Amino acid sequence: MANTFSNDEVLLTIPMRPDMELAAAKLASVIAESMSFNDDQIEEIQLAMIESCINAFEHSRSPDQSVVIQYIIRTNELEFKITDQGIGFNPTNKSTRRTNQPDLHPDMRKRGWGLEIMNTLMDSVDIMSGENGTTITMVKCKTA
Amino acid sequence: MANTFSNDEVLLTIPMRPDMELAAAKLASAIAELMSFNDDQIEGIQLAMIESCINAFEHSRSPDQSVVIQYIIRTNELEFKIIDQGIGFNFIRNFDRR
Repeated sequence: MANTFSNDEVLLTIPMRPDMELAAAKLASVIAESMSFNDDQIEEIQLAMIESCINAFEHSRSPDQSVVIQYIIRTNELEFKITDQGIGFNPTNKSTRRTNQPDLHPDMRKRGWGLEIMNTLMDSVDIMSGENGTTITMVKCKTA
Repeated sequence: MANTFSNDEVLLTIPMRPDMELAAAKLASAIAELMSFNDDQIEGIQLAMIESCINAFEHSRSPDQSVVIQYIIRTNELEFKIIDQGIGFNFIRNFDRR
């Protein structure tokens, strides 16, 4: 395993169990703090991380019940890759879902906004999903 | 890799660079908090984690310059394994030193 690990990367594996998304978010906040992100940005990073982990916990149906998170440290940005080995999903279906269901119950309208929230909080969000799992890549820039 | 990962374990890999011991300590504190350890205990856990990581950073001479930390969650205790792939040391001699 020598020399395969990058000096700019932190790697976290968490089990899919309650509150573990908070551990992942807290780690993100410490790393962002050490990179001198401001408080608002750190808050946004934490929220996006929590959303992303909970998505994986609730929907991935991963056989190993774990989520792997890469925190990649660059000069002016922090990148997160959140990976599960679940069944995957079609991200293009999600973006149109709300507008196609005007009769949706108000309570249900409060659910399922995870991806939209992540897009608002981060500078870029990319989703790669297939039958072997899903990787969500989110980037936060220091000077957005 | 399916089913090899325990539900009670968090696994962290950090590079040996400044402040990364704080990331490991903060993660420990977040997990300890979820397990309802008290504030003094959480403080103690953080200090021990920081010491342990800095030891590895400064003395291990690990070729891959990384430290792996396992956080193992049990009903009434939290176990930490801090692992480097460095040159090792004679810990018996070090304990006797004082």
